[in-house]
Parts: sequence; C-alpha cells; structure tokens
Amino acid sequence: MTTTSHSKKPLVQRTDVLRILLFIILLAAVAAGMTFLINHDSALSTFQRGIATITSHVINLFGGRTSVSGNVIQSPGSFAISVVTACTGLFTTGVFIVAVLAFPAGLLAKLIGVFMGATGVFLINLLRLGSLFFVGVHFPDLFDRMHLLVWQSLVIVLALFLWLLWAKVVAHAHRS
Amino acid sequence: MLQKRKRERIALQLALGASVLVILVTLSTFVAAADDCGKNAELWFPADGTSLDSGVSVQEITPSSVCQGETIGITVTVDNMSCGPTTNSQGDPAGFDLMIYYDQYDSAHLIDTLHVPGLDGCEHITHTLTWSTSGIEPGTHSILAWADPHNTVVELNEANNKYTMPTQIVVYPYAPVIDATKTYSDVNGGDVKPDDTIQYTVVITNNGCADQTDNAGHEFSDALPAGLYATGAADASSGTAAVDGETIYWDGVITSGDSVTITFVAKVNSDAEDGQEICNQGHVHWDSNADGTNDADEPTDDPSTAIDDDPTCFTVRISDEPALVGTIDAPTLSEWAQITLSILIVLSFAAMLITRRKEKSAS
Repeated sequence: MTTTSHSKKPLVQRTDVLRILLFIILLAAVAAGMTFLINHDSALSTFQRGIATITSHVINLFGGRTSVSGNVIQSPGSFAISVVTACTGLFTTGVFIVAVLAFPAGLLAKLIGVFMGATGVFLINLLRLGSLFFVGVHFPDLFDRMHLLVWQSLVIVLALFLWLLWAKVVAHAHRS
Repeated sequence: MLQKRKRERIALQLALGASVLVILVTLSTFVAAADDCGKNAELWFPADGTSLDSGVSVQEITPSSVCQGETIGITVTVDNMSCGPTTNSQGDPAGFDLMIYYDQYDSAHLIDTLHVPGLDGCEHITHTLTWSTSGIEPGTHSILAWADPHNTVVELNEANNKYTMPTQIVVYPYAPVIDATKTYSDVNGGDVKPDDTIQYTVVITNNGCADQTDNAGHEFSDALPAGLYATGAADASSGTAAVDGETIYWDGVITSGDSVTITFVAKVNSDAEDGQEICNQGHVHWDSNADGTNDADEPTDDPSTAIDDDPTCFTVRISDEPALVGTIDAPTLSEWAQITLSILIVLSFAAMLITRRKEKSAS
C-alpha cells in the first residue's frame, strides 16, 4: 500500500509578494522623482520646449495656426497652453516602465515594454495636448471637463490597457 | 619638552624651505616668459581698445548697411602684444602686410593692402580705409583682415593673424525691397460676431534703394475670403485704393525708405458660425530688379504672430461664454489621478502575477 500526500501550493508565493513590494517601492521613487522635477521645473526645459514644438507642428498640420515661444503654444487669439513638467506625461511613462521592469519577463520583453510605454504614452499625451488646444480655442466652456474628466480617465485607461496588453502578450511570450 | 621644541624647529625649517622653493619656481617662470616675450613679436587684432593706449573702439565698420555703390569706412587695428619687435627668421627687423578682404581670403575678394614697415613691442597700428561697394553682390558680407599673410615676421603665435570683423555689412541693390503687414480691428470692439464690421490696415514699406514705381498691373491686391464681404470703402495714404467686387486693389508709387498705408472695411457674413476662423492675406506685386515690371510677390504678414508672412486671422464668437484667455497648463494627471493610476496598476500587477502563477500550476 502506498500513500501519496499532496501539498497544495499557495496562490500567492513569497517571491510574488516581494515582487509587488519592489514594484511599490519603485513607484514611490517615481513619485518622489516627479515631485522633485515639478519643483525644479526648469530642469526639463528642453524637453518641455520639444513637446511644445512637436504639438504645435501637429496642430498646424491639421489647419491650426499656432506658434511656439519657449514651452508655450500660442494661438493667434489670446489662448495659450504652457507645457510644464506635469504636462509631459512623464509620471505615466515612469509608472509604466517601472511596472514593466518589476514584472517577471525576459530582457527582450522588458525592452519592448519600455519602448511601448515611452512611445505609447508620448503619443497619447500628444493627442491629449492637441485636442485640448483645439477645445480651448473653439469650445472654451468644455475645456475643464475635457481636461479633468475625459482626458485624465482616458490616460489612465489607455496606459493600463497598454501595460496589460504587454503583460498578457509580450511578457507571456518571452517569460524569464 | 625638548623633543617638542625640536619638532617645531624642524617644521619651521621645512616651511621656510618650501616657501623659498615656490618663490624660485615662480621667478624662473617669469624670467622664462619675459625672455620668450623679448624674442618674438605677437601680432593680433584686439577686439576693443581697452588694452591699448587709445582706449577707443579699434575694429569698426560704418555704416553697416549701404546701397550698392556707396562707400563704407573700415578701421582695423593690429597690435603687437609682445615685448619684441617684428623681426624675420634671421632676427633682422622686418615689416609685414595687412590685407583686408570681404567674404573670402583670396585675390578676387581683396579690398586693400597696407605694408607696415615694422612694429615695436607693445605698439599698434590703426588702418582706416574707405571701400566702394560698386560691383559687390547685394546681400550680407563679412569683412576679413589678415596680418602678415606671407609669414615674414616670426611670432610667438602664428595662428591668430586672421580676423573676422564683428559687424557684417548689408549691401542693398538699386531696386525696391518690399515688406508688408496687415492687421484687423473690430470696429465696435470685443469679440468678432456675425454682421460685425472689420477694418483692415495694410502697411507696405519699401526698404530698398530704388523707388517702387506705379507699373503695369496693380501693386497690391487682396481677395476677401468666404465669411466676409466688401463694403466698398477703401483708402490709402498715397496712390489709389479701389474695391472691385470682393477684391481690394491699390496702385501707386512707394519711394525708397517710405511706406504707404491702405485701409479697407469688410463685414462678417450674417450666417458666420461660432468658432469659424476667417483668414485672408493681401499680396504686394513689386519690381525686384527695378526694370519697370512687377515681377515679385510679397504676401502680407500678421505682425501679432511670430510666423513670417502669415495670413491675418480672427475667430467668430457667438457664444456668450467668455473665451479662455491667458496661458494655462494642463497636467497629464492631477494628484488624485496619479494615485488612482498607481493603485490600479499595482492591482493589475498583482492580478497578472496570480494569473501567471495559476497558469504555471495548471501546466
């Protein structure tokens, strides 16, 4: 007579808990870094100017008539958007990259994830700034709703969707 | 006690020795430099006169812009900053040439040559000449100076004998050069609404050296865009302004350095929509080579923007909602949104880890 004993493994293992803790610590580091950069807004002035210039070009491609002065995108009227550090999508990119780096996956998958995050969030933010500028010029009464409700929700949902897509498809295919 | 005194004495002797050594090294450096300085000349072009006796500006071009054929005054100063006089490789006193060019260091661009018989140490020479710009291509030019181009003088530094004057000169052709701006104002003020009257002001300036004559064809035309219609009112500070259908014309002369102001009035269509942007741009037809034919086109520029030669635009506002004015910043995520994203991504992270663990267990 033989006896077999099944020791059922717990659903969440110690390494998973450690990984989540590591992720939370990295998240805190991103938040701290972002706070520092916002308090030293001039540190990223070239980056801000670059985003303002690209956004202005994109708006002008669609018939807008904007000009850029420093990090300010100016319409022919009196409406202007200033691209400060908080407008650059840096926090969202940082969170995305940290989530990619902390998740168990191969090096190639992580590199793809970092690229996806940086590019994806940049494009989403470009679309956000362009549409907010259009709304600010033509539908000023809708600006706050568009900025606070629509675009903040969209940025969160799109960033999460992009990360889940990476975790499910790319990270799954290139497991560490 | 005795040992302590001994130690102090040794330290004092060491400090004294080190000080003597430093003084000796410094002195020998000075002597070497002075010796070097006395051997060879050192020609250069000082940027200002503060280091010279004169204390005045030493490199000058006046005026910096002229009509083609007019003359320009050029002042160049060469200084021998060394203690040694200008000598050749045998150590004999030697002179040198000072050559002035424009744009390029070649014989085709040579303006003037001055032979300097010699220059003692710490002496300078200031050469002033006038240059006729007849035959010089219109445009922007640089004035270049070259001391001792044939390397007859032995110098401490041979690499600083070429100099580009800090002021560039602009030579204008004997033809008109036209620039035009166009602004608008809503006659009753405030936002532009349907049926509002818009007054346009066009200023055409001739920055060239020749007059813009009243040639065949119109010197200015401006076709009104959809959303606007002409009222028939047009005026000009000189020449003749007229309205034909939905196009405004002007004919006349603009003398060199002068300008003409054209004003005309248009009305916004009754059915103009809220947010509709109405842009238009006039065109100056001018004579770029002074041959009596208008061969060039200069579009008007909206001076309120940084963009050059852009149309003049306004946006129709019907809504009573005040327009957003001033500069605003639109952060990607507010603090609460950042917290929400962080929580959601941590939860998603955990969920994906668990899903993966489950898949692993199942397999």
